[in-house]
Amino acid sequence: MQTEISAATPAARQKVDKKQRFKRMLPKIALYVILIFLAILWLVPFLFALSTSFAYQFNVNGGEPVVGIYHKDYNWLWHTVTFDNYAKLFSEYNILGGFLNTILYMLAPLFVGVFTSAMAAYAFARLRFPGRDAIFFVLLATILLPGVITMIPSYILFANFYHWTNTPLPLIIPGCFGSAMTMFLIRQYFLGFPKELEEAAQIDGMGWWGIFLRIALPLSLPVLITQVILSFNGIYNDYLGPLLYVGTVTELRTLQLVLKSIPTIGNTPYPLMMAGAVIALIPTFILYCAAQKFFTEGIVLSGIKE
Amino acid sequence: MQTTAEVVTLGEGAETAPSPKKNKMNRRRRNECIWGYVFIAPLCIGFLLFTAFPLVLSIGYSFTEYDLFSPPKFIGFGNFIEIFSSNTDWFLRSLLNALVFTIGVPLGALLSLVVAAMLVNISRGSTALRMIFYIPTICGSVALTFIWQWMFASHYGILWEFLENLGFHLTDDFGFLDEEHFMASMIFMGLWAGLGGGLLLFYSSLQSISRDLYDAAALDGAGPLTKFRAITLPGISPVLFYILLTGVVGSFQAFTQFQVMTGDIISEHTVMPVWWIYRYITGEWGYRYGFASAMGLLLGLILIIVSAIQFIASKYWVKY
Repeated sequence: MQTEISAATPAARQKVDKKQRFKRMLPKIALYVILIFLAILWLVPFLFALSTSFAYQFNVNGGEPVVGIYHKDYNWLWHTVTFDNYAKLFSEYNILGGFLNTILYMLAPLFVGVFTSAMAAYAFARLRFPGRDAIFFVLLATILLPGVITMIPSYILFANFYHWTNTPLPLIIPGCFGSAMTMFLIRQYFLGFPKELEEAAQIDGMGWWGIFLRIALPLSLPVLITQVILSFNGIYNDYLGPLLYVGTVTELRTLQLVLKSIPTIGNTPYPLMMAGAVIALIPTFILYCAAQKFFTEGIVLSGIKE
Repeated sequence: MQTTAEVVTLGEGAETAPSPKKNKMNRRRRNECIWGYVFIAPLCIGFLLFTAFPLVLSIGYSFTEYDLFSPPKFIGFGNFIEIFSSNTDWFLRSLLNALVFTIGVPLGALLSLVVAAMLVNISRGSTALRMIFYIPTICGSVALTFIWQWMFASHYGILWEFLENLGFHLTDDFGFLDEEHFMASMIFMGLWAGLGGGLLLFYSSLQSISRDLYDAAALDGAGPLTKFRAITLPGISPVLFYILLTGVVGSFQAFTQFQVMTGDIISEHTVMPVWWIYRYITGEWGYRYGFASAMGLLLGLILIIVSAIQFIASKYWVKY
């Protein structure tokens, strides 16, 4: 085969090369075809939802006839567009109020919580004090503790001891104290700093608080942003927490609760539900497009722990 | 040794004057200790108030009958006995459902491993593809469940239409969300929603396995299966372990998608543990907080034991 090619004319050789190259490329092309097909499949639910959110639920017969989603001629790829579902969402369901409540409840846990987590992370990573490793181990072990154990007692605690039911306080106050998981991930970052960092600052007469605030925090900005973004997404999507504590008070509901308040049984208003889903997903999509690197870094970081 | 140093600094004046340098060192050590405790104080106070205290309470309340209005009444193991002997309580049934739902965890791990293995073999566009697969994992469960409720809809949903177009004739009594198919549909949705996370972890783990190992194995005449068993599997085992562990704990505590998918209509075929426990908070089955605590504690202990078994088993197959 080798000699055959070298013996052939340049034109023929080129032809054979091309053929071989194609043959070598074939598995790669097949891979691309499969992967792109899968990716489209993964996007179909979103496209289906987006399309339905602009559809009519029922046929409209007056004037120009329009088919609703239940009609056999309804085509999800091509149909008459209406904005009624979105309008209804804002007029009949307090979707804007839900969004504002969500933002209001998350501000303190987001910023104060990440800050207090970073404080603890710094101490566990860079300072030496008696009992440090034991305390760290206890906190680490609770990350693995299934949340369901403390669900009922926490509810009793907030209801009977603190009298916080039907207020957003159970959603706000605990978050301000930081979380062990966030602390653990920020600590990993602090561990990577060189030892000379603090020594140089101490020679300049800086105290620990100053070092943390003016050197350690600015240097760890990427990991802090990652944690703020991940916390934002976690709180934004939380459903069980708000359901337990503010679920029965209409004006305190978060966006996820308002969304869930759309009745989904009987004559299911799928177009309205899809409009709600689209609205609820928009902030997530914007954040993801703007900062997708932080999202993916976060998951890989949390995965390679231990 | 450390403590004696501190005692010395505390009793400064009484001691025979230590060298100024040592004194300074001690003060610095003490300063470091104090700041260490200051830095960890908020997190630890929060931990004590909102994790440790409820944890202790959960053990206490599990042995009582408590309705929030009158003081808790100690009833020994009564709640636990009721969980295991009651014919009307669905907690055991919900555990069985959760166990069935857990089938999705190894299936999902396998699927994300296969897609990750395909992605490491292409260079251009792999980032964009990973980003697409990752989208569902960051989306809120309520919105995603709405979307899938519509996809699963009988007669009008896209999946129904798709199967009809493939030539299946679905009868009127068939439904993706009926008693028989509900769990399978939830697992299916879970596979779609969860692929991205595992995919990302497997991808970075597969990339970190040295190409040289495969080349050397090829020289020794190893087939693809041997390569997978001897090189790939040990390389990805920590990530696989992590995915299985968090996956099992997560699916036993799944709540939102079940409650939303059914429109909060609970039945033996749809009930899940956290949903069942939540029912006792709403007072729908009476305000039985002691009983609910016992169920939460039991589920938590089951998950801790399952995790511990996974940890012990991992000693034999996970290579760090």
